[in-house]
Amino acid sequence: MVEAERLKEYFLENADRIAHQWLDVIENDIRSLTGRISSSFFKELSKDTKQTIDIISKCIDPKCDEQIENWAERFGENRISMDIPIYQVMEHFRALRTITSDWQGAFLKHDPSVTGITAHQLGSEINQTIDEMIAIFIKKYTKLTRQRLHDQQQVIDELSTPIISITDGVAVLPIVGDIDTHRAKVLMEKALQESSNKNVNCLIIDLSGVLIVDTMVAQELFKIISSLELTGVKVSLTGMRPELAQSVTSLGIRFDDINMFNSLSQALKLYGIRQR
Amino acid sequence: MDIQSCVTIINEWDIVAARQLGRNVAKELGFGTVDQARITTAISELARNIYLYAGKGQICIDKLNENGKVGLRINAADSGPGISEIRQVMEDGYSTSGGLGAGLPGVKRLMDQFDIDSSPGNGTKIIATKWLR
Repeated sequence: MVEAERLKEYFLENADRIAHQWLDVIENDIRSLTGRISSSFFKELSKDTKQTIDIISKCIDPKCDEQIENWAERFGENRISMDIPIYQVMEHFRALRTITSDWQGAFLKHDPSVTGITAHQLGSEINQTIDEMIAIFIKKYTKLTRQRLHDQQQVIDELSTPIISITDGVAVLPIVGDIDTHRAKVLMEKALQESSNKNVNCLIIDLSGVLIVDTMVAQELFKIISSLELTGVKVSLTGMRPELAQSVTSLGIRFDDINMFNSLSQALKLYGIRQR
Repeated sequence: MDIQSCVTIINEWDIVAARQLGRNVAKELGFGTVDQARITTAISELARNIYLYAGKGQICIDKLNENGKVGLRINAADSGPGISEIRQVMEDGYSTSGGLGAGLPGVKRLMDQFDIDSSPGNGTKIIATKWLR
């Protein structure tokens, strides 16, 4: 459509000014919330805003899905690494709509031959492009956030099962914090694997860092102990806190067949490890 | 100061959130560490039951002050399948999920007051209270 071409040209001619206008809004918003913006951060923002306006202008006619995908990847990554929450980004998009709408108005004044219907159509095209950008951005942002959470979970899992060899075949596994089903599964796998790797035949599981045991957690713990014993590892439990012991008793959980020791040092004494 | 705060239980992380809420309220009210552990364990059991059997429900923690007595009330509610034989589930060792079967009778022992209202098709409501000594 001829008018579309003219609008496209108009936007491209004024792209820098439009981008600058939007950048001002974004900058002020972020500054009001976080105080200062580093210069490298600012450079990224400027590049982003310029690219966004470029795409909106070029995509007036025809559509350009692939460009939007690429844009969304960078735009999303930048927003996450700059720690900008998604609702703030949505506010920025809202400002973008207002700004592009104003510039469309300016174009119509500049080119009064454009009919009302055409103007409406052009406006609609721009809005659709912005909506497409928002949808794809949200998809990317969510994907990246999920990825980050997944990575963090992996770090937690790795921190979670340190099997510490003390001496010939004797090792300690200190458990700290709450044990949920996921963690119990990881604990089981790693305890079995590490015990085998390190030729452990006596594993002392220390619970002094555990505050809460509910019946499900206790069950997971028993499963882990049973599995270890099946592979020839003798398991002892140490360090159960008094509060924990009281709750466990009230719940009716019994640790009948398990070697229990008051503290780690008591258990270690049994294996001949004492202070000289 | 809020009198009641609630956590919706849909996934496992919500069980953790319910525990934290309970622990914080218990601390605020002045419960000692042993009672904090009891309350938090009770919440964990109730929240886990909701998660396992009802899929979705709510745990609300109330701060109580009756005639100068300070207490904490756990309200566990769900619109799950409901329990047909309440007496059975209150027996030690009874379990429908291959678990230890210590959940509800255990909660009753951990808290001072325990009330359960449940029937098939009508969900389950459990109220458990602990008073500050």
